[in-house]
Amino acid sequence: MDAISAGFFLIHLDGTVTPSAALAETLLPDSGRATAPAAKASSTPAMASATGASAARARRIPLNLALELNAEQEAQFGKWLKLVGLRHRDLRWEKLSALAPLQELRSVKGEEEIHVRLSYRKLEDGNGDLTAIAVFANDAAPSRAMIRQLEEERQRHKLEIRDVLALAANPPETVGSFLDDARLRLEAARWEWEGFLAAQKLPGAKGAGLWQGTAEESAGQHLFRELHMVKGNAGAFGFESLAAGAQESEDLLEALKHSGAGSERTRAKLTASLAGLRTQLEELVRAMKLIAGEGQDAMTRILKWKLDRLAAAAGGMETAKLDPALRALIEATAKLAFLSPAYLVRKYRNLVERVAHNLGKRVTFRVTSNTGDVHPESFSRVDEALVHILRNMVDHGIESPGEREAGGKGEAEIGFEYVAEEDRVFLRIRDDGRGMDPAAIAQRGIDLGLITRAEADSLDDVGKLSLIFLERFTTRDEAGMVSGRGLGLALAHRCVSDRGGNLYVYSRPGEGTRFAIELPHLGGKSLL
Amino acid sequence: MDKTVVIVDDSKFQTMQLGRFFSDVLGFKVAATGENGEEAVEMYKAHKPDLITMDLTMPKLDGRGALAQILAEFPQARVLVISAVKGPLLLECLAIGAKSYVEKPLRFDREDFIRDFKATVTEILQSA
Repeated sequence: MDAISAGFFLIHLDGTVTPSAALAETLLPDSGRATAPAAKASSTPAMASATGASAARARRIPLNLALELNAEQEAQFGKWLKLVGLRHRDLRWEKLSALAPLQELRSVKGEEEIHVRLSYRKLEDGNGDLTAIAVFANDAAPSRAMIRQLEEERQRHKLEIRDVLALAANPPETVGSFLDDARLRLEAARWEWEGFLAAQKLPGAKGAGLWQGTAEESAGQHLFRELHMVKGNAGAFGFESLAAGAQESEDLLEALKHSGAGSERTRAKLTASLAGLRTQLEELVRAMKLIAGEGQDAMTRILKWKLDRLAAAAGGMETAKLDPALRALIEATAKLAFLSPAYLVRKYRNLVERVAHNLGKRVTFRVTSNTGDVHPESFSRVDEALVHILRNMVDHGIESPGEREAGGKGEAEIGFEYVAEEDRVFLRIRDDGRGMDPAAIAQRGIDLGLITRAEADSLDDVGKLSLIFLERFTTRDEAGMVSGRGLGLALAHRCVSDRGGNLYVYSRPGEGTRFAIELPHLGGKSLL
Repeated sequence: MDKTVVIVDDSKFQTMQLGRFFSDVLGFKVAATGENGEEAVEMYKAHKPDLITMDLTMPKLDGRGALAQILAEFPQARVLVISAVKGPLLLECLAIGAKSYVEKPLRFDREDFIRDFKATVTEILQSA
């Protein structure tokens, strides 16, 4: 065995190995000291034939020094060498070399990790006797780096494809309302978090914990709720990366819970995680626009654009003095782009169902209309108002299932009615929920300092109820998950006013609430 | 005449996979299968197969023990170690007389695994 051990060297063959293999030498701080006299090609015929003339420059280094083996590794090499000595004639070298204790080497040089793959080759003399084992060191780092890069790329593609699939698998308007909702929630989360961080900087604020206060009131709880909703919805839609991002933020928040006020590091991580979530969401929004183009594919958009121009031109024509046949043609043209109200309200149906589901409520959304197809912008021009009103209804107006049952009411219903009249359009939205008491609304207005007692007394019921359209009017002390910051209905009111319309509300306790949006006709009086 | 093999492995599933490979691909007759070292020794004695495959980590008597007992009585026995263990224990088995080894996991879905397995069995049959 000693013979083999003695002949067991790392052979660095100058010029016969790839440049990367030369790296082996850089791994060997002792190589200079340990370098044995170069083997003479003539003294080892087998080696000479294997390596050619360059073998003359081969350097032999005792392996334990070359590879910086520790005692245990040295013992393992000893056992392996013993086996090699016994079996090198009858067991394939492939099999034997695969059993060598070291197959790769790693070391860190500065910033760089060096990763070297070792391969072993046996050198025999003419009689088939083993004379040496050559160890070749191949720099595996470049290929490893490439594999890692490919793997990262693959992972990213996988997640992107999942996002694309999720975008494609759900109706554009559904995804759209999810994205809107997630954006609001992430903004709310940012607001809570930045507010908390700012409060921490105030003198004397030390120890005011993220989770201080009752479970319902703490900033941590609010943040958690928003993140949790984003996570749940993202997961349900199949946006896995967003869901994973929200999970990460949740975990960090949870970590802060257990570490009291929380370490600086974890806080910085949460700030970054929340920012990352917003970026992810914006990327989804961009992808959504690319894929769905505001809800349609490119061809549909071009067609719609052409149709709109044609319809607008027809709609603007003075037809009174024309031949009836021509007039009919022009009027039909003007209505080319029209769609049924039932089709146009899909977005709002989805919104109601989703918000109700999130709140654990069940609501039927019923649509009626007194007309056929209508201008596609009949609803979208007051989209913001509709969204706020519907959210508010589901959140505030509709009672919990338990409450409804106790009150002898069946499943909740929100009715959406489109009524076209001679010179205007009404969008009526009603729920059969708990309703509002005009007197209580007036009192709330006084309590919030929005009106004086005298002003309240001068108002009739409709006037009192209209106080809910004032900014900062809220019936809840704490903002709810869906609405309740006292802004939604004010925004709805402004949206309708901006389009030259009116927003009305009427309600009685226990009898539900009715909203009516009154709007001028779109696209000229002659239509509808 | 078909070559015979005894397969010893404590995983019934792997025994089945190996049995199928030996009979369908290598043309062996599976003389018997066992699930521990004691059965390996008994079955070798009973069948004197051309080849016995041996897992190393098995209940009752482990592969190394069974290998030693078989070789003590039948020095010419051809034993192929099929194991996930690839350290000093495998080196020792090869040193005391196992003809060769095949590394687990059994990747019968891979060309290179099958090629190596075939070459290993051919080598063993050619050896004395």
